[in-house]
Amino acid sequence: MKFSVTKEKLLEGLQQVQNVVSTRTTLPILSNVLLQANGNEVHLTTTDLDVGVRGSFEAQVEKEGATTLPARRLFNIIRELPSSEIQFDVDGKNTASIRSGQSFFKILGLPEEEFPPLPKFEGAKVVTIRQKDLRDGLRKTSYAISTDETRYVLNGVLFSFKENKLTLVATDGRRLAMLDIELEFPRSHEADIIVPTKAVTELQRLLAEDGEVKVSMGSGQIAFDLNNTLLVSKLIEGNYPNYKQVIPSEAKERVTLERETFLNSLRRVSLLASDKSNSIKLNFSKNNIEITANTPEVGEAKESLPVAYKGRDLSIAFNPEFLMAPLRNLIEDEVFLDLIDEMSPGVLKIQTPFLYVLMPMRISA
Amino acid sequence: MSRIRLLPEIVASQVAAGEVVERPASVVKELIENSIDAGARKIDILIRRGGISLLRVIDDGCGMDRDDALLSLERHATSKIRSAADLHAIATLGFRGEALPSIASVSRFRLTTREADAVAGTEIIVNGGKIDIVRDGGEAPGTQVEVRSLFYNLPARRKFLRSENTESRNIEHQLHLQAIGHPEIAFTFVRDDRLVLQLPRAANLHDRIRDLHGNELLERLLPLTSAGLGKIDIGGLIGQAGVSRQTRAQQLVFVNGRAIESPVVTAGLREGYHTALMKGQFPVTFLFLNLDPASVDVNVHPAKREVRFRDPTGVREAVVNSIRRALEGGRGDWQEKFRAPNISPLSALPIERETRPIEVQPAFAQQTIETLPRVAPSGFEGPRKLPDTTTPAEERIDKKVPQQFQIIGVLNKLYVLMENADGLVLVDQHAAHERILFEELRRRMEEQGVPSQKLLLPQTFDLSPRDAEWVERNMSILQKMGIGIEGFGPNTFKIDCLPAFLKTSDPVSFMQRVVDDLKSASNSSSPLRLGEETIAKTVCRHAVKANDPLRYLEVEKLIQDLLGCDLPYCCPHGRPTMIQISLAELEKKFGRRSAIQT
Repeated sequence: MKFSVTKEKLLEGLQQVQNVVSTRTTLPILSNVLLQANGNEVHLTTTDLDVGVRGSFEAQVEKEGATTLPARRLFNIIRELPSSEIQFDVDGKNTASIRSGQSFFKILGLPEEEFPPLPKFEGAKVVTIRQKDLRDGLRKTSYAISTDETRYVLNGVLFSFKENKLTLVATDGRRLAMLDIELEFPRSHEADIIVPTKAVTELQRLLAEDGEVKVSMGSGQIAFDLNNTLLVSKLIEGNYPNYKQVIPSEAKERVTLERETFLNSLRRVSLLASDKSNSIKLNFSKNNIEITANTPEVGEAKESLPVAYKGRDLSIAFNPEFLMAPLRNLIEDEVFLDLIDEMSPGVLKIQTPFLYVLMPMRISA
Repeated sequence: MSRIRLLPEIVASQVAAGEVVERPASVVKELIENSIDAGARKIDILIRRGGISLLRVIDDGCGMDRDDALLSLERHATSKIRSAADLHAIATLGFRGEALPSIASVSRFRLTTREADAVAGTEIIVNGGKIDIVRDGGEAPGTQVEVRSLFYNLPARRKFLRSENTESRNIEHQLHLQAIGHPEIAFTFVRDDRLVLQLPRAANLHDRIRDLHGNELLERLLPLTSAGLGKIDIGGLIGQAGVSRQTRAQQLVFVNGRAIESPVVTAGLREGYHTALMKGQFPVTFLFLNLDPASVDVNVHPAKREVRFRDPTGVREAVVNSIRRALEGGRGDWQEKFRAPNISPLSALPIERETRPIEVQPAFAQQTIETLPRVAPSGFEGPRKLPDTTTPAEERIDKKVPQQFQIIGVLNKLYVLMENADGLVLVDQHAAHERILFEELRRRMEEQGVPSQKLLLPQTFDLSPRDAEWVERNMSILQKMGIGIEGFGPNTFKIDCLPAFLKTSDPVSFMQRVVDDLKSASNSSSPLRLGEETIAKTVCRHAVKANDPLRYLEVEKLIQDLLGCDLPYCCPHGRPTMIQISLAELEKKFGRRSAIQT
């Protein structure tokens, strides 16, 4: 295999795939990236056996062929190369010679055949989504994914394809984020699947402002085809909890908030809810919210926020982190907070179909 | 032909012997207990070849007349109980009336006995359960039992015996148990014609432990007192925090003078020590429980190794409370003398490792030279004064802690070296700081109450009837810990709140763990018990690390704060915070003293 390429193109290609590479693995081939030179393209593939990414870059291929090389090391070398022209030459023993300006590197690789192939998606159900919609949707939900591994079904985002819409759901049992995307697809494509966190993170990195993504659902697998890049992932098996039953059907009080202002106030006050388990309190009174936090032996913080509120006086405590997470990830200027009473869930909404259910905290004396 | 037959008397005895007489040590146990029940003031034990070839127990107890002596060799013949009612309140060590005939049935057995006022004594010789000779004999008042060729007629059992050495050690351990249990009795132990142990009659347990284990252990024991809880009287001595062993061998528990093993008490011990004990280590205890005989059932195990308590929870609580109190009470004492925990004869290895790279961290040394004269003109002599701070916390420490230590320096940017009256003290700066932060954070969170996070979906779960009963009873404790739980039908519960510091997304399996964990713990657990692990993890990150150079003032504050802790001896993970190397040990290492006298 022999090709030459510009540093920028190669770096860009590597950046797309290198995150998937496992740093600690007992299988050395998994720390390698698969390079395949065909026509005027070189394809790059990485996998950790759960998630795989395949990308490509343009190159002048002199001799077609394939090999695998240590991904991180390769990336670090390319990044430091002095000149923008890079010549790649791999011999039959998978030893790669890299030349750029006055530099010369020789890296030992592993044969292509050892690299685990990505799964095939023949006869899978295919749905097309606008990249922007999916990117937005994941951004507004994925922070609520559970990091605790005791209930693995929660370690991902639920993709529910039903009645011409895709509903994304993430929860950790204390709060839940949900968002709908309007979509056209045949009834036969209706399905509930759980995409694991790692795939969601990678997907968010790959999704762009324009274009479409082709989602292929196979049995236990999913592929996201973004024109020049392909991401495949295993799905989490199991039943996602019935999220619909946690959404309160009514709201007693509603307050409209300026997202940035509210977030900034919370951020300031929460500085005095230092320990992670501490709460922040919202005291609602006529046209005002008072946000307070205190830590004994440290101090306290208080901030008033004028709002249009006409309901009854109400105090409710939340985990500040849980309250700030959606505010950080939403982009809308205005958000609505629906409340029932002190011990019932609060619901954050925006104009479009999105909601965030957050359970309050109880401070036992 | 009938298939079922009554067993001959000898066979029945041998069957019984299988339960009671397991090895030479169990013979010794039965015989010593008989002697104690006979009111002996002195018991001599002699063994040869691990007690297999010869085993002799001589006491100066009340003795027996000829009829009694003969009767004592019949099965189920005893002077200790008379009716079934007596079984409910056994005050003697024995009561089954099985030991002597059982032993006699598996050995060449000789019993000589004389009552103090009788003219002549009795000598009975039994071989394999058959009485061969009964005759008058003249001996000192008391009873002497001689067991030769144990299991000579049961080769199968004999094969199960261990080496002579092991059997001797078992006997000695048994003897230790009895000697601790009865300090008022003098014991001698002769093994293969060598006097191994000579214990004079001791006035109290204290003296007996000194005689057995030496001063060094004794000094690190704390007296136990009853928590004043009703009928259970607790006494004895337990090891200070940090004094621990790899095995349970020195975890001795006596109930009404009887050495026993009881899961109930063991659980109580573990809970009482809690973080004062490293994981996988066992405490050193000489624990004496005195209860109304009617509230203990010893008739569980033929060798009476186990007992059953009528109120196991009460017993456990009493043990936990008295141990906690002793440990906390011992703190002041400990600070006063500033004795470190693990003084347990440090093996040569760790000392060498710790002392070899003696090089005072240069940065620190400099600092010491520069700041010492200014900050504390008294230098290294005399007690060091606190810097001029008068916050209440430090006042408290100041009063309690006579500053009997002098900081010498920091070794390897990790170990603070200090001198105290007993020698050298090494403090692990990271472990020490962890302990300080841990207690601070826990106290703060306790004052605040445990914040509890509601769950989106309340979950129901089932428990076994016994666990369910426990949860019902301890609902309020669980609530205090931040768990929102309520009944939801028989053996079913609903949980809708968890402590906020928990990340778990599976409340059901979490609850099962909590129930298992807390059931073995005590009812008076801190509401933060569930959070201790999280707290320990948090403070570990914030504590100063190894290789963090500390200035003199920082070291001084660290040591003062450590001494102000509730449990200064170990870090929240149970590793020791400090180690003492006594002058005596140093002298030994330098060949100035041949051995530490005990």
